[in-house]
Amino acid sequence: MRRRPGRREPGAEGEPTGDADAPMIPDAAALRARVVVRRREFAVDIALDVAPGETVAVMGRSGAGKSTLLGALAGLTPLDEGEIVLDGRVLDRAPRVRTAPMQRGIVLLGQDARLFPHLTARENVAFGPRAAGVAASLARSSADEWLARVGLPGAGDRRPAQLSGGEQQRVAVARALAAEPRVVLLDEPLVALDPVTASEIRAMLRERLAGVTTIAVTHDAVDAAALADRLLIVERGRVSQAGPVREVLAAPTTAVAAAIAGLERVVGVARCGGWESAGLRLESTDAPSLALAARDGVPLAAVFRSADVRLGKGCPATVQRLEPTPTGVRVVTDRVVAEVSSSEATAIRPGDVVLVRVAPDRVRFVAAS
Amino acid sequence: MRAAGYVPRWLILPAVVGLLFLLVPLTALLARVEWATLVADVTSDAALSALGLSLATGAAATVLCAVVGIPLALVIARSPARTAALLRALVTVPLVLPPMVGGVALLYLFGRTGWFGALGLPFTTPAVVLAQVFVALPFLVLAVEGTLRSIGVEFERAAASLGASRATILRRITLPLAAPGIVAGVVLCFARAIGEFGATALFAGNRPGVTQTMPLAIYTAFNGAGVSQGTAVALSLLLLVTAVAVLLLVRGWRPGVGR
Repeated sequence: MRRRPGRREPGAEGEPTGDADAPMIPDAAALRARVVVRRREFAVDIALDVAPGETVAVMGRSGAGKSTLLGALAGLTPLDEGEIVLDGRVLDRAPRVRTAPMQRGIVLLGQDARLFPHLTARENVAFGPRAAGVAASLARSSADEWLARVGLPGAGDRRPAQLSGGEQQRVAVARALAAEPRVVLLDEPLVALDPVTASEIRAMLRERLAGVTTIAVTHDAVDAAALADRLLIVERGRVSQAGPVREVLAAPTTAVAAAIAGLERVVGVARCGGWESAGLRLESTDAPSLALAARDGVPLAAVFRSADVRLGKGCPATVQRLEPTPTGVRVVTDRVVAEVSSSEATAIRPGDVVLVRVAPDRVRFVAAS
Repeated sequence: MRAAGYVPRWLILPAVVGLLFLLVPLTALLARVEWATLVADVTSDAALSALGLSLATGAAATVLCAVVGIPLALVIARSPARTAALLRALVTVPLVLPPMVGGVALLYLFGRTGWFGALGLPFTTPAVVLAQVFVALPFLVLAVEGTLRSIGVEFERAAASLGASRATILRRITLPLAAPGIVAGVVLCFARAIGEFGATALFAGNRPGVTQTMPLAIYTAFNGAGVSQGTAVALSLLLLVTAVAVLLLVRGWRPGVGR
């Protein structure tokens, strides 16, 4: 429910003027796009429909096409097919219509802050407003306010080389938002930072991006859960799963999505209202899961957290190796991976047969393709 | 951390040889200065007019080089790799040609029977400037282009995504970031221009006060019948001191880049 001070009036380029008295950011934009970019190995073909002020996270393995998507939205990569429409205004439509990056109002925030090294932090933040014709003194005072908002009050006179990586990323956020973008694109902005700094900046981003239309590419489910309303999983250029962040992370339908969510995913078949795979049987109390398991023989994947796997009862599994983790031991068996405490794992050796089970309220079934 | 890195220590030997090779001849020149007539030699009308002409034409040539050379460097740096390699090779040609050949070529182009003969340029002061531009431009272009290429386009992209126009990006991002290369290029260009001899001699001639720059005055004094070599040495010293002074001046002006 904040209003950003010093905002320009929208409508300078003929785009629809929002309700000036709206309590939210007035020019949060709706983004609708179908991005098709042919690459050597496969074509990226992703459709997006982002509501004004919404944040959509995009996750997937390296090379799946996430950065290509952002490049196309930012206007750096031409579309082979499809179109990009911002608030009803066609920015790009293959093959002819293209809007230059400077006229899109879409700002990209990458893992490298890319602060202009010859300008101070204040001049960096004031760059966007200055380029838009805001008077120098106004742009500078507004830049100081932005620096305070991203947690760097009084840092205006420092040069990028005098800032730490986290501070540079904060200035980059201030610089991006001071330009009053219609859409913000995040390309793993936290990946180069240590965990504590990343966590602080994640919280700052969450606060600052509220009400700003955002597409966030990330490898970290924590980022997605903290920043986004919806999550798209992208595999080989296609959206393999989409939905509210928590739903996707709780019931990943593909191996990639399960890995992103940090869940075990084992493929089997429906059998007698449960799930079976070569002697291992799991049951679920989750209603959608039970519905899926109602028909015997349907291919089904069971998803659950390794930490919910219990040893001592249930189905036999052969231990393949033990991997120490910061909090305990991952017991990798031929069936599932169990995360147990160090004391539980002391007697276990590779080659041992252990009994594994997962409580039914911790198991979900998803359709296996 | 060692600022010196881990270069083999014995490299100091060829390094010293190189430095001495540059400095010892200048010492030999100083040793031949006839101090008694030095003041008279360097303040003679001929010497001062040659120096003035050298500085004026050198400055004009440097300005012309910057006006066309920085855009050329930008075009090369932002071209696809193959086009850039071809353009770089073309720009390098005047560097590997003897300046004399450049003078001959300019004479054929601007001479009375050349394509631009109607301009009547040969053996005028503008001809001196043209000859200097021809030999000095590659130095500026190559220095600026190298810097632009190493800067890359990421900062320009960031500026574009913040809504800056192409002109704003050039003025506030590209040129300031390339400033070290531009300064180096301008220094090299000016140094090459005031040292220019061969192309000037052929294309502009050796008319005192009109086309006789310092190098031509020195050559004339050195070869001149009945004139002592002391004049040539004194003029050389004057050129040396002027060049060093200009270098220091330009180096002193350093925009605050990359601090």
